[in-house]
Amino acid sequence: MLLVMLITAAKANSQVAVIGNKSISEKSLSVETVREIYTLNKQQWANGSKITVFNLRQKDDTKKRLYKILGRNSSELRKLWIRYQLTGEGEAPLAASTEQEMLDKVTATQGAIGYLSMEKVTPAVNVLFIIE
Amino acid sequence: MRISNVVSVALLLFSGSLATAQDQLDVFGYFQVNFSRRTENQEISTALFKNQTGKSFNSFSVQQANIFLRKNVNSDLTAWLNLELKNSYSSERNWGAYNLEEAWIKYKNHNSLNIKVGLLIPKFNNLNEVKNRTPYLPYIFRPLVYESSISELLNIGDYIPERAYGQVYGSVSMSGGWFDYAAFVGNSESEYINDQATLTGQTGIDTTDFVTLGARMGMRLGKIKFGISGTLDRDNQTEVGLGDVKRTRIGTDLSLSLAGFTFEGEYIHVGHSVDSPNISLDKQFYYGTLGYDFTEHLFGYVTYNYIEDDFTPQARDGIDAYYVGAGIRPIDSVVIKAQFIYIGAKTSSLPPNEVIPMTWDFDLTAKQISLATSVFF
Repeated sequence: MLLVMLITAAKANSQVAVIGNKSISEKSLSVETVREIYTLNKQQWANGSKITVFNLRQKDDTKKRLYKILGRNSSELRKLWIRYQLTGEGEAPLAASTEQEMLDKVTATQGAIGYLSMEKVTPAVNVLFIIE
Repeated sequence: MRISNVVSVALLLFSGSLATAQDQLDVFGYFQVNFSRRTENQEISTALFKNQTGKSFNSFSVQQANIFLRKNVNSDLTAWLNLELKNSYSSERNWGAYNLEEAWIKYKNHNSLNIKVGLLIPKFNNLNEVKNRTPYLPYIFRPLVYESSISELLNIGDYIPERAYGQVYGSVSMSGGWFDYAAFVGNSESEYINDQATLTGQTGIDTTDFVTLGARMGMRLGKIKFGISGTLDRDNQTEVGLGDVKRTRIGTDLSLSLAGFTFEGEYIHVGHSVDSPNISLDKQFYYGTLGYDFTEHLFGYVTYNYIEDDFTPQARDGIDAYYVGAGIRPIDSVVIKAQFIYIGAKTSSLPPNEVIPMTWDFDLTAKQISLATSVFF
């Protein structure tokens, strides 16, 4: 029993949660949809409301793990986001300096999506996808 | 009108309905400041004379500064204004130029259908839409047909459509990728646009019944993007007695990234329907850039360009241009760039034709070292 609890706790510690503001009607997302949102191919939720994307400013394990499922490195993503931003085709993700700030901003912004370590998730946001 | 007035009016127009708008007015932009040292040597010789000239100069300049105003009018509509100042713009000193580059409104209901109306930069190949976005580009001196500073030598508007007034475009998800399409319409080329108020009382309007029609189709498969583009319009050659010549631009583009390497390349062919069999106005251009990201913040690249213009004597046998460059991003919003370029053009014993009835040789070499800082704010 103790072993199961320890394994479960360790797993939660290593998981990254893609989180969304409570206003979002979607309750879960596929990895393809997360990829499309972070590469700005998808900019609206199913109900037509705008997706506001948040990204961690500093490079840490949480960010690395998200980028891994996106299949792009930071240079490729930066280039992609700048192109969208400077052609008026989309808005580059907004920066959050810490995971706490990420949580606060996603909680406070309608239609927002972000990511943080699973153990920092609170009931104030919805978990849309889990990176194991 | 002074630039400050223009910016104020634009801000006022875009922010006029702030109280009722769903989204705020976004104001952002960028500028690029550079230092360049250029050395040019040119030799022109004919049976009658030989002229050799050489010059070198160095200069600091604010190569470009752009201010964007964007407002999401509602969830489907976005308004966009792009104001561009070039070459250390100063109306007091007659330096540089100030341009309204874009002023459009976009309707977007879904990825598959976007409609833009207003002054816009059309989708043609990969680079056209972003040729002036200096924080995005690794270059200081861009691939030749996208480099406005050499417009005295080459009219870049002959190779690429610079403006349009309406564009329908979108992306359709297909198995494992996206199909992109775009179709646009605009005025005929700039040479047809009225720049003398005495003629019709209004400058900046097309005085012909021609239009430019264009399109692009392409695919994005993971990190590979490719497409084919084309335009139909007229080339104003009335000054040399050829009239309004039908012109067709065909372009292809390919971009990909793999293991830290990136490749971008384009080919453009410009064909003309000229009645005289002895005269050709056709042109072609291609470039390829191989880049590498050494780290998240440090990149380097090499570029090869080739341009050929049957009607421009200096470019009849082709102009080759080689670039080597590198850059560093100390922070996300700042890029420090360095670039070396070599341009060579050599034309030997051109046969006489109706326009230039004399054989002659031309040899041009230019070298340039540039340093620049591009700031995105």
